[in-house]
Amino acid sequence: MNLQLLFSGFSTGIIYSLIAMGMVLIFRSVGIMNFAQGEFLMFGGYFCYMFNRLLDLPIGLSLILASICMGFVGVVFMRTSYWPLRHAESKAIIVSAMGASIALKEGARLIWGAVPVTVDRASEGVVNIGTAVIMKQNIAIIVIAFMVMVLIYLLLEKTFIGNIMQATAQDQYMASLTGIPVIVSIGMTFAISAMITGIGGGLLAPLFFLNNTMGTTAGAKAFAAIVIGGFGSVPGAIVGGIIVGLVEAFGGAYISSTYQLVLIYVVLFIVLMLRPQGLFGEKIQEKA
Amino acid sequence: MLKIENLVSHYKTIEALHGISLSVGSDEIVALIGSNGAGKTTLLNSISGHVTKSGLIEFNGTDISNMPAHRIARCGLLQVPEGRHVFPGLIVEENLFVGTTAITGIRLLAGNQKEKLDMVFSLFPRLEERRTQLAWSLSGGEQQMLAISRALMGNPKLLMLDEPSMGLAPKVIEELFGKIVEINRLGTPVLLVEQNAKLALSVSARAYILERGNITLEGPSEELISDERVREAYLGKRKSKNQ
Ligand SMILES: Nc1ncnc2c1ncn2[C@@H]1O[C@H](COP(=O)(O)OP(=O)(O)O)[C@@H](O)[C@H]1O
Ligand SMILES: [Mg+2]
Repeated sequence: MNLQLLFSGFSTGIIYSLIAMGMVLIFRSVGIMNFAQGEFLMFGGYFCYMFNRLLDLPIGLSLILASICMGFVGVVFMRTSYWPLRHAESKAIIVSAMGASIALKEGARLIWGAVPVTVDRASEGVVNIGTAVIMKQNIAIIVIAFMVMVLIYLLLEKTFIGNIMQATAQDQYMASLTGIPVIVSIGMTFAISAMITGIGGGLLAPLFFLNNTMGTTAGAKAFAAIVIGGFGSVPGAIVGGIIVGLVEAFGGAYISSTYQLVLIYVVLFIVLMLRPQGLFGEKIQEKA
Repeated sequence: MLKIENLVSHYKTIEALHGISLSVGSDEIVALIGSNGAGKTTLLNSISGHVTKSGLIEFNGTDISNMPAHRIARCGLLQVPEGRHVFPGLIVEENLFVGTTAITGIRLLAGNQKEKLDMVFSLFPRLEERRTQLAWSLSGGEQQMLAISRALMGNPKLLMLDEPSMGLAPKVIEELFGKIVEINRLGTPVLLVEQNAKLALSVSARAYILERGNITLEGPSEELISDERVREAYLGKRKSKNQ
């Protein structure tokens, strides 16, 4: 087993998990796959770049500030791309999200330019395990992403505000009958979704550089992760993301680096053939 | 308490209620009776802010006819909708906590709700046994108890129940209606919507009969129960008319 590949695959994979998890939170809340989710990753990365490189703030603080900014982006996205169309057919909302993704891509280019940029590593240097040389950034990514996931779990499952968001996702009509302002509750879900995905951008930037189109491929991989993990399942999205990252790393090294994306889809087809509902999916999820 | 005058409700271009006037006093159970499709649910959904309408709806002297649904709930006007609508993926206790939003709005933590929980658990001990169970796994009767309890957690100033007996066994219905009377005795006025006229008339002080979007009859329940038209149409005392 090649530890170096394992760590790099796992760490990029867990970033796909952050994107996929963000998509699933929105999907569970409003029943729409947000195809602009990858752009949240890219935008979050640029915010991080702005705080870290343009304003010279430390990377830890930059990640937090970038995430907060992404919360606002999530709310604005929800208010402009989803809310006005909430009673329309879902394909209208999907098209609107695609429009938003173009706006985000071009917006990033206008604000931050077209030259690829980077940010500081959250942790410098390497660790040697046997003969393997592992970048500390890879470990930092895994640790930070894991902390974000635990925080989100606690927020959604162990707090009242989390119950409110779940209740709204399960039954908007009933939520409003109990006094929940549905738009606020859904807005919070979009904010959280954009925040966790946005942090991924800041974590990924030191490894791959940021450019304004990076979100599209990352989003496609996250979508594959969701299908592999099981549509609508949060644990599925996390595991699916890691699988995609590992397939990419090992497949790239041992099979072909040009056909990484193809390999991901091959794995996806195999999983779907063996388990059509995905790894963690229930047969058909009833949305009460 | 609740005063409605000349309420007209629409679904797109279809007019479903054609000018309803109705009131509920501060301590009574008022029944709203009508057969399937008469417009009972539409009336409750109009009051709670879910159907386009015109006309006057006053609650405790405040005009609520233009308020969004969540604001109406926060005024203490709480509806237990047809079909119960428990939050299926939350456990019983979480469902109950969510009910307190009507008092306090959204906040980070639920806080100490022991007093309120004790109150609903003493009314419905079965819910205490099911406390940590997911709501979808409850029986129909238990879900109805949960839906009512969730509303009680929000300190209702008026409780609107939409066909609480629907789909329940006679024994369960009997128990449930006993509790509804008890809730009312403890000081909460109730607007009770039912297809089951006999049952609704037996627990209410006054009643309205709704037919195809119009109130066709109203009065003290005692009088309606012996009214010939009511007996014929709703109490299964059909005469030769249909034969
Ligand atoms: N969402 C809706 N859209 C269009 N028409 C509706 C809708 N809901 C109810 N209706 C119509 O309004 C009328 C009253 O329905 P409803 O209020 O559900 O009656 P009830 O609760 O007394 O059985 C019926 O004719 C029904 O078909
Ligand atoms: Mg009805």
